[in-house]
Amino acid sequence: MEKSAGMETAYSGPAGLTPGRLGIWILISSEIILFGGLFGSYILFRMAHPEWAEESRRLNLLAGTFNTLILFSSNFFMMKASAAAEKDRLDDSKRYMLYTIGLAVAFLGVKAFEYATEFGRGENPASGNFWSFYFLMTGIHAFHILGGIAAIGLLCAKALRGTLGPVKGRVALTGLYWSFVEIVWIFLFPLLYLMV
Amino acid sequence: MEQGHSQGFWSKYVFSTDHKMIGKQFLLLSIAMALFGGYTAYLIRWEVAYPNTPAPFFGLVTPDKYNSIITLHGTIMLFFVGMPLLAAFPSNFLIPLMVGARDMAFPRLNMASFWLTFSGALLLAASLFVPGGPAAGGWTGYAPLSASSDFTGVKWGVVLWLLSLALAFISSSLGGLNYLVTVVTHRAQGMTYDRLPMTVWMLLASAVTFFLAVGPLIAAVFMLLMDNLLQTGFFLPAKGGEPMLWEHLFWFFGHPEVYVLFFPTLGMSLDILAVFTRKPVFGYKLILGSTGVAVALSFVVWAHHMFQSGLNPALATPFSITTIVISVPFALIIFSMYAMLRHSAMRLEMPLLWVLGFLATFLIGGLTGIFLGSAAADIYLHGTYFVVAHFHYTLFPSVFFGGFAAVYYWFPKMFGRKLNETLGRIHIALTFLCFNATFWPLFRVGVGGMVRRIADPSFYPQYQVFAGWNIFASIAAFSLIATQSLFLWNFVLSALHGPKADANPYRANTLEWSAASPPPHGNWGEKLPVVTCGPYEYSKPGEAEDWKPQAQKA
Repeated sequence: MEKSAGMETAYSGPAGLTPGRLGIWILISSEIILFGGLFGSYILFRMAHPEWAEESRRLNLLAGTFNTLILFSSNFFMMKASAAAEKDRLDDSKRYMLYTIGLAVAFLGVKAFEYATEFGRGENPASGNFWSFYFLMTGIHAFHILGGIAAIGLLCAKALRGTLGPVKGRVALTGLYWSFVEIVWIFLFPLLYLMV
Repeated sequence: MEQGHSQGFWSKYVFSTDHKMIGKQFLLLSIAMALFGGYTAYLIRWEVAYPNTPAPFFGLVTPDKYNSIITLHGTIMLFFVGMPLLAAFPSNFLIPLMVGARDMAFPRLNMASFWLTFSGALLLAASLFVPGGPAAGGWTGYAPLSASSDFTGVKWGVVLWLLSLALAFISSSLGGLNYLVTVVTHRAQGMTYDRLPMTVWMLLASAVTFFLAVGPLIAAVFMLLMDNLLQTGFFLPAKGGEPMLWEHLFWFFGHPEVYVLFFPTLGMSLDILAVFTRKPVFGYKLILGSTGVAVALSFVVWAHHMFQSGLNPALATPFSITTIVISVPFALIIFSMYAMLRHSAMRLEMPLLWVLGFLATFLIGGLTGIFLGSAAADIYLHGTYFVVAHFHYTLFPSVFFGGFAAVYYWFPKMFGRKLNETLGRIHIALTFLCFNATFWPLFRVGVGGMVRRIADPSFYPQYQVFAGWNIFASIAAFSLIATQSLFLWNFVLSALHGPKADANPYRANTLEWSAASPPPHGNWGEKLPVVTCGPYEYSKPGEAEDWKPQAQKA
């Protein structure tokens, strides 16, 4: 049950810092710590095992680079969607969000193709610690992409039903999260693909 | 309901988004889990005192069952009793009432947070019924014990244990997010930061500490899950893995976690002390500063749990130093509490008795912590019952004395009724006596060299000299557990049939006491309260009354 109509509520935060915005930043900060622990563990292992370069070279660098570009463009469209929502151009916002989702799905498709070739070559999470880290980190990242697709999809559904207006601020908040998911990839890509 | 809503049973009591109902749900969950945790404590103490004799209501506690029971005991008491009782219950019930909000910033997220913890508890309970039984690698889940079923024979129990931890961690993180946002954005008019009661500050310190510590462990939980399910070797030396990594990631969280459980008790104790000593909190800003220092230091002490675990000895000294330094901010806070007792017109009501019990017992836990912080002493003591006595002397006062203080103090606000005094006072006295009688002998046994984590002491002839002490401690522990039935009886009976309580039975200043008991949905009726002063205007010279509520009638 939501708050009753007719009852006043107080706002005490700094101007412009809505509960949603503060909440998303706290969420992102906790995610940074989660990925920090993961990346820190990987880096410690990686420093102790220079020979992992050999396995790193077997990753599909072309596909990884292509995926980086896809994620960049998807983030670009998400920013356009936030800007459009802010200026009340909700139809444009919806269009840009659909592009974002399309590119995110493409990212997952490329990732699935990479996984498939790797599994085909017999490389799986149990074939050594490099592969364990590779599948764990890219897997958790892929789940974040899925979460993003769901969140942006919900906003698109609202836009299609014409109910995005009152909650249009959420486009920018989801955009913040989406940028974070991209930044995680910006760390993942060199750690896994480029440190050879 | 008060504002003319009609709520069905399900939306009012089960899938409620009202912060007060969610707070009570967390309280009830922690009580239910404490019964489960108490039962495991009974089995542990039975086996240590009467090895190889079947325990009544269970049967023979074999070594493999003993390992599972120890693991369950720690996990339940920390994550499904301590966290709900000290972080979730007071944060949910009190934060909106104390800052003058109608509810949490995100009520539905709040509901999700309860059901996540609840599901975690169910998963843990489910692990009793899977092949191989529950996890048996200790509550710290040390790798490689927890990383492969080769060692303990448990696979699915570990998987369920890890999933239940993951759910509890996500729940507490979402809760912490909610508490922080609520305090920043939902304070009533006039409720400036320097007018927040200590309880709110300390619940925030607890939430922030949890938040900053738990991320790496969530990552480690995924890694350990993969070790168990996908045959990876993150923590298995045989596969090139590094068991010390789990230990570091666990204690990087695990040590701050004890402060996550300690801060709320400090905050609530300070507020209770102010009310029953009729004095302001001594050194409000000093306490806040100390808390900040303690939060920061809590992230650089973790390896003192690992002096014996193969830690590079060169690292032992810095971690010894930080460990001893962190006792300074906490000592400042505890001494502020003692300063409030001095020359005060103390009213020895039940919540204050709990706080005094907390102060007396925690002191012993804190001081023995300084012994253990020194690596040289720790190498000898770490594997012994001395450590068991030490951490029960810190955690039992924090979780149970602090938790009971909160439940006794806010009971009239929660249920609009009073607890029975006679039963309550007997409960307090017996709990205090039995707790000390249980754990004091364990210091002696530990210094004498008796090693913890063994199922059957009779197997080691050198421990025979401690048999008498162990039986004494176990009988005290059984009495301690039995004593809690007084509380259960009092709690249920008083919540249903106790004498009606006023809105403000203690003449307390903080905002929650200006709402009705129990507060209606939305807490404040039509108009929000307006705050005109700080929370601790007690016995102000020159004033007619010895108190001044924070809220003025609008």
